[in-house]
Amino acid sequence: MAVQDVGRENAARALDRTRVDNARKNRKKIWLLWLLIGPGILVMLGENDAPSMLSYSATGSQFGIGFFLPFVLLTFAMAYIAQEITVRLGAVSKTGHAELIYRRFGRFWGNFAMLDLLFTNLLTLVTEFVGVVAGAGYFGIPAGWAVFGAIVLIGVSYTFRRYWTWERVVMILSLSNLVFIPIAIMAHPSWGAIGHSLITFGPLPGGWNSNTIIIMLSDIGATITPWMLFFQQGAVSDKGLSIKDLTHGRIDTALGAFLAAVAAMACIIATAPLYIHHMNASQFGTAQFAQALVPYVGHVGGALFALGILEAGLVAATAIATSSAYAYGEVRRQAHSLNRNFKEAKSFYAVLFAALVVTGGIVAIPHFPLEYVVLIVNVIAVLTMPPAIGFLLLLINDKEVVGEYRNTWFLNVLGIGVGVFVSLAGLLYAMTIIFPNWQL
Amino acid sequence: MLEEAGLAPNVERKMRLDRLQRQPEVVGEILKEHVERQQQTEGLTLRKLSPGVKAMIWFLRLYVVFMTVVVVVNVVQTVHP
Repeated sequence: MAVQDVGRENAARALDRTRVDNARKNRKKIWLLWLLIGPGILVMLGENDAPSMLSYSATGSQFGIGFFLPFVLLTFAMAYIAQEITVRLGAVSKTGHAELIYRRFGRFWGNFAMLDLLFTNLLTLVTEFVGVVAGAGYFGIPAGWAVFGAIVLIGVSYTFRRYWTWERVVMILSLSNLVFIPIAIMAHPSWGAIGHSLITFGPLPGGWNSNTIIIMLSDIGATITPWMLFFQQGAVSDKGLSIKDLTHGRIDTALGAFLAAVAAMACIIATAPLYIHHMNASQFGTAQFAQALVPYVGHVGGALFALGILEAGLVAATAIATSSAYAYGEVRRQAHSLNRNFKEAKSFYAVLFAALVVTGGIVAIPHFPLEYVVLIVNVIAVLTMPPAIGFLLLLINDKEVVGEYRNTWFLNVLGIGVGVFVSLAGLLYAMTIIFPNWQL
Repeated sequence: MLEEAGLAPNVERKMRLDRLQRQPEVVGEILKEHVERQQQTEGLTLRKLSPGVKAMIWFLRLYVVFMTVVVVVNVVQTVHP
């Protein structure tokens, strides 16, 4: 079968496929794994973004080591259930998430899905730059320069004009999310308390109140968001993963979920000393967290914390801007691949950079109420998730789309479970807002 | 075919993108599954939504609208306590 338009995109994909096929033929298992991992690690560590790490910091400083440590593990298990579906959808249909929704459900429902995605993406991108500015601010770098530097750095990652190279660069950068592990160790945590909390899901200081619910919702939003679905399916399709690679796609997603969960738990453990020493961290921003931690983790630990937030913002900004550009290109039926150069995919790169420049510019506006955006961005992400999970489950059960690779009844139970859990968490939040005196 | 086109494992590293771009039949062979699946997806039409599915999608959409109002109320409460 001939490919009508060979172009750079197909040639690059063919080159990548040849390397994968050769590795498989020669039974080079580790090399094969290295070639096929990427989208899962990127999406999971990308979701450990600036507002997420801030959410985990707030969790650690307000609740210490207890209920939320295993809870975060649970949320990443749920994220795996949702993201594994996108691997199958991408590898089987070779198409992005937005395009599938438009094709099967039409423009009316597709536009709603896109509205949710673009709204949450733009809000989240703003908070990524807040993270970049706050992290850079710890080292005395002015906000304007921090935003400018971040956009230039992100821009450089796209100059390789190869999905493969971009993926490797961002994936290696994203691994610095694990910097929260040494910070957690520097905080000299009680390993007994960590073990106890993982087994018993406790303690939960203060019990269930509106603050606990907002933190819980924020931690869910720090793990499961609509952009992840669009990004991973787009990346799997752009990378050219085939049906034969499904197992490796699952390993990639599980590895990403594991690494991200460890980094998230490390962040909670690292900020737990603030709870133990009764510091009121409810109004803390990123920079304040880094400074407040210095007495407990030292100047090196504080600097690493600020660096970790900066990196989290950078990686997520890249991934989220890319997910927006993928979705836009899919819906407009225009070129949308990182294997294309700027000339071949003008609108794809234009959307990508417009999203970065506009949101970065917003952060640079003096007196913009950034703290409110950071506060609600994870919450909004959770609230827009139920319809996204609904479409995800409808697509993965669609015989015409995925054929024999559709969900089993067991996977459907898990998927519906995630959807119900996220919806109920949202309703719980609504109850605390509508009835402020309501107690569980 | 792959060996003839210089895509055998031992010469893989020497292979260049521009060389592949000039060999559409080789690219077609390598991306056979990709192209077939893509064509299959392009042939997809709108699925018929049962009343149950329609009701579910509408319910989830109304959920988002309701929750958006709740978030706005929350933000107003936070800004003007």
